[in-house]
Amino acid sequence: MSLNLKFSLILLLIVSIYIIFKTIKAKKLSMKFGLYWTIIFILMLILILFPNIIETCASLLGFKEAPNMLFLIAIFLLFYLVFSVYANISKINENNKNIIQDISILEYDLKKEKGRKK
Amino acid sequence: MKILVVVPAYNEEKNILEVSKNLEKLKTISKYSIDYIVINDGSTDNTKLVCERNNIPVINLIRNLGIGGAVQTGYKYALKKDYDIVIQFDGDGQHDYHYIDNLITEIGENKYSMVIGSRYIGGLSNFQSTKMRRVGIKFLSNILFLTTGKRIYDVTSGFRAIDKKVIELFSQDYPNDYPEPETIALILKKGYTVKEIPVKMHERLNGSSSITPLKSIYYMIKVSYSIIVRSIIESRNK
Repeated sequence: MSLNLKFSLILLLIVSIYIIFKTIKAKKLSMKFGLYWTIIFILMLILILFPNIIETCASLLGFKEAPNMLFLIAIFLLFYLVFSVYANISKINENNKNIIQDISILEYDLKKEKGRKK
Repeated sequence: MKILVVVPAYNEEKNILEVSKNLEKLKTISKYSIDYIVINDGSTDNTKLVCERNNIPVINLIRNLGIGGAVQTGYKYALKKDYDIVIQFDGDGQHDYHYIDNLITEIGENKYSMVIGSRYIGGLSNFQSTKMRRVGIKFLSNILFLTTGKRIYDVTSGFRAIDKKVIELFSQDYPNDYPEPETIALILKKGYTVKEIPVKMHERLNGSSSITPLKSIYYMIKVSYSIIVRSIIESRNK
């Protein structure tokens, strides 16, 4: 890896981590999800600084080419992240539904109560 | 025995008054004491106005939830007010109120947990839906039979009654879209009893069905999937 490429990639990662922190500060990303992404970027940083790790792991696991392993890991990781987002959306939808139902029933009860008092 | 008829309604300004008049009539002739409540699922027409002007008891959902969420609101309300039996009754005039007493009797006297009003048994109903839809319903009926061992013919019927145990269950867990066939699988797998009895159904008074031809393929896949998944996950619960 050329020194220039290494430098650019590191800069890109540092900017990415900065964006995560900024988003957390703006309360648009929770600490929990910030942590996920930060860990991923730090792992990438380590791999850029010590690319030999990738070569060693790939040959140990029997991959013909090191990038194959990287792509596989990346796809699995992204798949997991998307799945957890889907699960979260489902949970939020369920909560949202329950809140709408509870408020609507309460509103009806309240109105009936008012009608009785009149 | 407290009985509640839950009427889910989405944009039924033309039908809801007629439906409520029928239910008022039922209250006077039924041998049971019956209340009813309309669940207005965030209609964009004047359903809310029509209900309030005519003193029809109505819970107005503050946002649109879809049929599952609307019906479940009725179940939650019934649980809160300690009702023993809930009848689900469409707000579009498809269902015939004369058969509500029959549904109640199957639960009150014969102790079934869920009773389904069926177009396809007893030959009471002239309205049997389109050919394509009948084929679809037959297919779903077969899937339900294969997964639960129980033959129900009108699996998509939204004219049904449930007892208190099932009211509690449905308040906790009810599908959002296309709930009817899936909930039969759920009930059977939980070990409750289900009975199908003949009823008369009409063509809807006004408006069109919510299921367009384009959606019907998705409908078939989604409902088949949910019946199969339900029958797997619920039997594991035991």
